Order: sequence, then structure tokens, then C-alpha cells
Amino acid sequence: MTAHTVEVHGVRHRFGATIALDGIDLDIGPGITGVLGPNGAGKTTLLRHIATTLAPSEGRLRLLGHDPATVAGRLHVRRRLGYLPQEPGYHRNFTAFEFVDYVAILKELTDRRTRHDEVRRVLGLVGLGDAGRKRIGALSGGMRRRVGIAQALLAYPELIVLDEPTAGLDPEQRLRFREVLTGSAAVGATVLLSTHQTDDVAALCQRVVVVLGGVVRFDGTPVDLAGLAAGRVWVASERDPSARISWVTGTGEVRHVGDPPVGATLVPATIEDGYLQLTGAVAAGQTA
Amino acid sequence: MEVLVIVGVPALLYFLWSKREPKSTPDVAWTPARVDATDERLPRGGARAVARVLGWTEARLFRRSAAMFQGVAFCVLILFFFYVVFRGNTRLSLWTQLVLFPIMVYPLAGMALVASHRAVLRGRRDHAEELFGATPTSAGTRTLAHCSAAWVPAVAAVLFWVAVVVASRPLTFGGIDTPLAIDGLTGVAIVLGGAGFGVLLARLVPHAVAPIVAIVAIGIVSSAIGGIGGHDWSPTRQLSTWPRYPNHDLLFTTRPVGAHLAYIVGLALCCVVLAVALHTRTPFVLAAGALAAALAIGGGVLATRPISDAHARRLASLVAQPAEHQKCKESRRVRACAFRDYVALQDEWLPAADAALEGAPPGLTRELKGERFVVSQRLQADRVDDLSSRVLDALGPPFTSRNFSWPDDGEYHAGFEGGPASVAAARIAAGLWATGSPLEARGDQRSCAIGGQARGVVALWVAYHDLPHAKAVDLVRAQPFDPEVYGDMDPAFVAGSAWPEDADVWSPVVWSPADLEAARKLLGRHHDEVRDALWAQWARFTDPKTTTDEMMAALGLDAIGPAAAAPAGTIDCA
Repeated sequence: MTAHTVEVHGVRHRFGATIALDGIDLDIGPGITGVLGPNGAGKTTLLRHIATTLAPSEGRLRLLGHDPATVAGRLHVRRRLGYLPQEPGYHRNFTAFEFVDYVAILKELTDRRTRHDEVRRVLGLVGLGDAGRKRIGALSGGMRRRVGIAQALLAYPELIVLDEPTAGLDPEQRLRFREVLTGSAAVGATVLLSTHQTDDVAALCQRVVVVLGGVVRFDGTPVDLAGLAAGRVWVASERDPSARISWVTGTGEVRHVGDPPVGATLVPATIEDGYLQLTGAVAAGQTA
Repeated sequence: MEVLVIVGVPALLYFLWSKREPKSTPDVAWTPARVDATDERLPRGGARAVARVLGWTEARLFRRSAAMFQGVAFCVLILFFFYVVFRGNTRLSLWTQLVLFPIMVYPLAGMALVASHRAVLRGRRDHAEELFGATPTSAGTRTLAHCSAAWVPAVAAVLFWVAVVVASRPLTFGGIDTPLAIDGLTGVAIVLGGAGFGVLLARLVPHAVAPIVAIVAIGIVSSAIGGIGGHDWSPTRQLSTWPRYPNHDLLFTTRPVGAHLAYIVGLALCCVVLAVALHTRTPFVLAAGALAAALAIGGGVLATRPISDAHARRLASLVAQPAEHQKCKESRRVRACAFRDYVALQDEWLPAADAALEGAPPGLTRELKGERFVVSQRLQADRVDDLSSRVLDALGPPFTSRNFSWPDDGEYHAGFEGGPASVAAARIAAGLWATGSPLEARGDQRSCAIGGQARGVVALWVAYHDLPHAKAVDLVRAQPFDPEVYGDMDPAFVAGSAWPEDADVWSPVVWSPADLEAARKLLGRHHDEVRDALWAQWARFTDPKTTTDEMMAALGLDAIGPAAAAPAGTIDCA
């Protein structure tokens, strides 16, 4: 009996000549795991495999103890899965309630009263309890995203896969989202989320995976990720051309990541610094 | 053009309304909510339960769809055009309307096809397939749910059928027999088939234009099959939902409606089963497919069987020995015989002919060929050619001879339509009978030219003597010649015809315009004076040798001049 709810072994995926995933190995257990990576790194492809909507060209997965390569296995997984794709489609003429209700039926909640209670519950979780009767076409991008999150939380899924769930959410909504997600994780769910928001990872995730070029380049805690840049972040009044990356902060200082010059004013590294250090190193052909 | 405007404007308005941008909703704050721990497992249904519940949801969406709205709008337009705009002056048998039902539902079936096609592709159109694909419900179950939503347009078809019956009731007579009820079911099956085919098409050709192309193609194919065989009855034509019916009453035609219904239901089921079989091929699905194919093929084979000898003989008997199949009803002076489904017409003919014959001298009915003036239904002679060749074979000569005509047996051979034209024709026929004039056109619509003969004028007076003067005079007026209406007919024929133009029986006689003028003068004079004068010299005035001018002189009226030359294609009445 394994404690891992998601096991990914040697997964490769090709789209024609393009290799999207190039031998991914991951074992993920309950809790929140963040997947970071630049655009085109393979995050979405990896999440689609875990959401059973894509089959790997090579390798195998085991999800919630089942093999998604089989029909029965996929069915078992999908019954316990909550999934928010990167671009979930919404029928504009559906109300928020109707859309979530439609997905609830697809999730086999066939008893009307139970289903409607559940729909109201998840809409309440995302603060849309009173907006359920609004047509989706009339909702803002952030509210639509919340509808998408609500449907992913239907029927207490044990595995929640969220592809860029905070895109379009304002800072306050992101805070609420974190509350909901940590609540779900607290009740034993395995949550995988891909994001470009490193502060979401810092605030939410017990574990972070960085995917670059279809390969896992980092797998550890957010602190470990930040640690990659420890002693390699400094501030100065002028831009240092030797830095791997530098930017002007709100205080007018220039923050640098790279190999600091002698006498540089070092500052504590953040996850973002670690991520930039890692991606910069990979781009430069160095190991992290 | 008018049709395009009437159909297009509401459709465009609805399209714009359905595509309007919804009023945006201000952001709702995301207030904190607690995620409660639960060990509760929500009750879940199996695939069948999901298909049922999803089917209800899809049915609700089907009902709200723009295509469904347009389909219903087409039905309303059809009712409007059939029963308001193009409402005719004739009273037809109910079958003339209901037999068209499988054609009337074409727009509804087409829109059901579009609606179900769009419903299946909704997820794809909205980019939601990725999300739906991650749920435990298979595409096959979703397809089944889409198919099960077809009951919505089917219910609309049933309501449409009821509306057609209700709307046509005041304009028709007769009841709904089994074949007509089956025609109604066929219409419903066509709509179901349209919805089922839409689902299948969406799975095979997921393109928005596909249903439009399919509708046009099905219409063309059905029309082409429906036209096979020309006037003759064709077995192949029975496969079409749009068969051309022969130019005579369907009483004399074979309509394998039961087999055709089985064929349509089979095709509809085939669409549904094929759509489901694209995803899953369980033994149940395969068995359903076999049943559907058997229904379609079996129905098709049965529908396209040639007419049996026994049936051909029965149809021939209806033509050659109509009296054996008719019911008769009598009044004081008239006996009216009609086929079973047309007995309602007896109540039009009897009072009209009775009232007309009040203008003939008492005791005349005994002096002439029979006790009573007889109106009996016959297949019109000029439509015998349209009978199936098998029926013609069973009939044999003289029916198969060129330019067959019924013998002038002293009876008026009425047609199969009622209404004012039928009533007027019965009145004139009564007048012709009372004056000993011909009651049957010869051969290929050859009327006898009665112009210049006093009896023709007397016949018209008898026909309308009891009506108010203005109405009577109006009925004796010839229609202005319109080449678009009358084609290559001799204008002189039209100018001398007082026979109602909407009547489905060809005029036995044609008058001269001067005779019509004389009849109008007679009808304009004091009724009792004219009646007494005519009755006093009835034998003279109804003698073919007595001219109109001689009669006018005898009645003390101005001469109206010689009759015009007999129109082309007529025969001598003398």
C-alpha cells in the first residue's frame, strides 16, 4: 500500500515532433503541490495526464491506486477527481448554477436534491452563492474563474488538479482561494496546481515541482527552492551587468540574482529568486 | 419575397436577441467560507441514471434553443399560410390536409436536426470538452442523453399535428381514419429521426454547416424519390416522405402507410444506435442496431411491394362499381350517394339541389328519367389515366380506352370536394337535369356548347332562382380571362362559362356570353312571374330547338342576339 496518490513514472509525451514531456517521474501524496515553469515547459501537459484527459506516449501513471490506462481505472479516478483546465469552456447562456449543475450530473450526482445542495455548497465556497442565477456571459473573468474552481470542488474530490486557477483573480480573491484550497487539503485531498504566481506557491504549497523543457528540474519544498538562490541575491543602486537577471524594485534599488560581486549587499532569497536562479541556470546550461 | 421577409425578420430578430451581450454583473465579493471535513460520500448514479438525468437537462436546453424556436416558428407560419393566407374557397376532406403532415413537419424536423447537432457540439464550441472529458460520464452516455432529448421536438410535432387538425377542421369534412393517424405518427417519427440524425451527424461531421447541408440534401433526395414514376403509382416512391400523390382522390390509391412508418422509425432508430455505437458496442447496442436495421429494411421492402392483384381489383371496383361502395341519402327530390368518407358532402348537395329543383314544375321528377335527381360520386373521367397501371389492368376497357368518359346516365357525377363551388355545381347540375341537358362532359374535358339554347338559360334560372338577386346574378357571371390561370384555353370558353371555376368536376356544358346575360335578366325579374311563365311552356323552353331569343320573346323580354360560335374543343349539345 503506497501513501502516494499520484505516481508518474517515465512519462513522455510527444505532439508530433515536439516533445512536451521527456521522462517525468513524480510521486505525490496528500497536500498541496505547486507546479512551476515557464510557458511551454510542459506543466499543462503533465496536469492533463494526471486529469486523465491525455494518455502518455510512453511511461505509466497510477492515480489514487488505479491505472488510468484502463477504462475501469480511468472511471475510478474520474469519480474522485476535481479538474480545472487552463481554459475551461463555459456555455454563455448557462447560469453559474446551471453550469456547475451540468458538471455535477456528469460527475454522476443524479439525485436532484443532493446535487443541488452540493452545487449550492461549492458556489458558496467560492462566494457565488447569491450569483448562481447570473448568466455566465454576464460574469467578469474573475467570477468565471471562481465558477470553474467551484465545479472542481464538487463531490469532495480526493485529487484536485487546477491549471492556473488564480489567473484573473484579484489579490483578495486569491487570498480566499488559498483559504478554500488549504481547507480542502486539510481534509486529506491531494491538490496539484500549476501557476505562474510564485507567491501562491509560497503561501500554499508544501511541495513545489519546477518543470522546464518537459523535465522535472526541481522537486522539493518552497524553502528549498528559495534556497537555490541563497547568497546569490543582492541589491545595488546601479544595474550590474554580470548578474544573471536584475530588475528595479519599487524602492528604486536594483535587485540582482546571480553570482554576486565581492562586497555586494546580500539579501534573503525568495521562491521567485530561487525559481529565476533555476531557470536562468538551465538556460545557461548549468545544473542547479 | 414576402415569405422571406415574414420568415427572415423574426428569425433575424430572435438571432440578434439570443446573441445579445448579457448585462454585465458587478463582481461579487468572495466572502470566507469554511471547507468542512466530511466522510460523507455523495450518492452517485450509474451510466443509465446519468443518461436519464442528463437527458432531462438536455431536453430543457433543447426547448430553449434558438433552432427549436425557429422550428416552432416555421410550424406557426405553415398554419398561417395554409389556413389564413391561402385559405381556399373549397371544403376538402380532412385527409387532404393530414396526408401532408409528414411534409409539413420538414422544417421542424430540420430545426430539430440543427438543434441536436448544436447541442452535441456545445462542449466543443465552448471549449469545455477537456473539462467534460475528465468526468466519469462517457461520451457514449452523453450521446444517449442527447438522443433522449429528442422527445422535445417530438412533442412539438404532436402539438403541431393537433393544431393542423384544429385549424383545418372548419375548412374540411370527414374523420381521422387509421392511415391518417399513421401519417401523424410518421410525421412525429420524422422529427425524432431529424433529432437523432443531428446527434449522429455531430459525431461524424462536427462542423456547423453540416446540418444545413444535410437538410438540403435530404430534401433533394426525398423530393427526387417522391417524383419517381411520374403520374403512375411507383413502389420506389413510397420510400419518400414527400411522395407526389396522383391527381385524383387518395381513395383510389395504395398508400402503404404502416410499412412506411416502420421504415421511418427504423431509420430514426438507426441514427440513434449508430451515434451510440460510435462510442460503445455492447450486446444491447448491437441488438438495438439489428432491430433498427430490420425495421428500416423490412418497412422499406413492404412499402415498395407492387400493388397486389386483390387490392388492384378492389380499387378497380371502387372506380367501376362505385354504387357498391357508397352510402345514399335522400330528400324529397334528390338522392345523393357518396363514398363512406364523403357522406358529409351529402348535406351540402341535398339542400342545394332540392332548393334549385323548387324552380322546376311539380311532378317533373317523375316525368324525367328517375324518381329523383341523383348526385353520385365518381372518379372524374379525366383522372382515370392517373390510376396505377395495375388498377387500369384490372379495370380493362372501356376505362383503358383513350379519352374515356362516363356514360351520361342522367345522374350528376360529383367530385370529392365540398364548399361553395361544389354547392353551386350541384345547383347548376340540378338545373341541367331539370331541363334535360347533358350532365357529363365527354372524353378529355369536352363540354357541350349549349349557347343559344333556351334550356341552358332556364337551367341557370332553376339553379339560382331562390337566391337573393345580387348573389344569383354574381354567380352567373363569367370570370375575366387570365392567361396565367386559364393557359391555352379558348377565351370564348371562359367567357361563356357559368360553371364554378373551383369545382373539381369539369363543366358538362358551356354557354354563350349572351345566354349568361339572358339568365341574369331572368333572375332580375319578379320570381313568381318568371316561374309561372316558364312552367307554362316548360316543354317548349327545354326543347333543344328553342332558341334563347325565342324564349325571351315569349316572355316579353328584349332579344339578346345570336349565340357566339361554339368555343374550340366543345361538342354539339343538340
